Amino acid sequence: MKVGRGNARDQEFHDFVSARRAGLVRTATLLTGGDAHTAEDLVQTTLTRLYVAWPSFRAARNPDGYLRRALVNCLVDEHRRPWRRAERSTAVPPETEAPVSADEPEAAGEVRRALRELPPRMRAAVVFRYFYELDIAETADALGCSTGTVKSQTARGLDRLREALDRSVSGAVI
Amino acid sequence: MSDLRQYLDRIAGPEHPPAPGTVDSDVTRGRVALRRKRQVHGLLGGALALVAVGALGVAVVTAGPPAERGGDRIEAAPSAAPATPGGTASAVDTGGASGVRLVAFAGDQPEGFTIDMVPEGWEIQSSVATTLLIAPIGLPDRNPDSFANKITVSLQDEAPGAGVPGEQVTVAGRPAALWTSEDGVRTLFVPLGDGAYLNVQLWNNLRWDTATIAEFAAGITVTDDVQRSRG
Repeated sequence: MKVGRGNARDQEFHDFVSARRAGLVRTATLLTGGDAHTAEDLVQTTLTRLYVAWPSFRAARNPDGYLRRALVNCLVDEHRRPWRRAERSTAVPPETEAPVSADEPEAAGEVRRALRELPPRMRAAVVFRYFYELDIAETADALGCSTGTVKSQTARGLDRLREALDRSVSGAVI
Repeated sequence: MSDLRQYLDRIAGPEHPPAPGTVDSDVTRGRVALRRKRQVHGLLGGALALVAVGALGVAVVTAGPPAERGGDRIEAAPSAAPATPGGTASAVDTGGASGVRLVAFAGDQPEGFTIDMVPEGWEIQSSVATTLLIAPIGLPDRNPDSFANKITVSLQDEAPGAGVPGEQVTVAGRPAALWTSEDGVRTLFVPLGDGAYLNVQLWNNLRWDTATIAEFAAGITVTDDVQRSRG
C-alpha cells in the first residue's frame, strides 16, 4: 500500500531514500561485516533517525558527512543492545548474511570473516578510509574521533585483513 | 583494484534498487518515530520522574564488609540529605553479592537525565542528550562508545518482544523487565508510556541483585532534554 506523502518532509525524505537507499545498504553491509540482515536493520534505524532529524539534516553543511556519522552511531548502538540481537535470533530468519558461495574464493571468505571480527569502529575506519577512500578528516568526522585514532584504527584493521588474506593464500589453517 | 579491495567490493555486493514498498515503509517508520517523540515531549512537559524526590526508601548504613546475599532489607527512612560525591551521608547497602553501596549523587546533573544515587566510588563519565554513562572513578576506558564495565542509561523506543524472556521487576511502582544477555549483560526496561522505555544497562561484571537495580533505576528522572537513542 502506498503511503500518502502529504507534506514536504515526507516527499523530500521519500525522494532522498529512493535515490540513496541502495548505496546505504551497500555501505551498511560492509560496516556490519557482510551481514545482510543486520545491514538492513542498520539502514532502517539510520533512516528513521534521519526522518526525525530531517530539518537538521537538511540544514547540514555536509549532508553526506551527517549520514555517515548517523550510520556509525547506529552501528555502535547495535552493539550496545545485546537484547536486540537475541530478539532477532528468535525470529524467523529471512535471508540473513549471504553465505559463502561455492564459487567464492577461500580468500574472500577469510576476508569476510576477518572483517566481521574487527571491532565496529575499526571496521568503519577501514570501510571509509580504505574502501571509500575518504580522507582522514572525513573519516574522523564519521567516527567522531581524532585523526590520530583514524590512522591507528585503519592501520590495525588493514593489518588484520591482510593477515587473513595472506593466511588463505599460503594455505595455512586458520 | 587490489585483491583486498576487490574482496571488500564483493562483500558489499551490487547496488539493488529498493523493492516496491520499501521506501514507503521507511517513511512510515519515520512518521511513527517522530510522532512518538512529540508525544513523549508533550508528556514530559519539563520532567518525567519515575519516582517523586524524597520517596526513595533508604537505609543509613555503616561502613564494613558487604552483607550476605539476601541480607539487610531496605527500610524507609527520611529522604536523603545531599552527600558529597562518594560520601556516605545517605546510602543504600543492598546486601547484594557485590556489596554495592548506592550513595546520594551530589555532582552536576547530566544532560537528559537526573539521578538520585550512584554506586559509591562511581562518577558520571559522559553524558549526551541520548546516553548517560556511569563508571568507576578513574576507569581508564573513557570512550563514550564503550559500555564495558559501565552503567548505561538511555531512553529507547523499543524493548525486547515476547520472544525474549525477561525477569519481571517493579521500579517505583511500575512493572518493568530485566533481561540478561548470553554474555551476562543485563538491561532493565521501564515503560514510560507511549512506547518510550527507560533503559538501564549493566555490564556483566556488575553483580547487583535485582533490588539494587530497581533501586538505582527508581532514582533516575528523564528530563525534557533527553533524546531517544533510537528513532
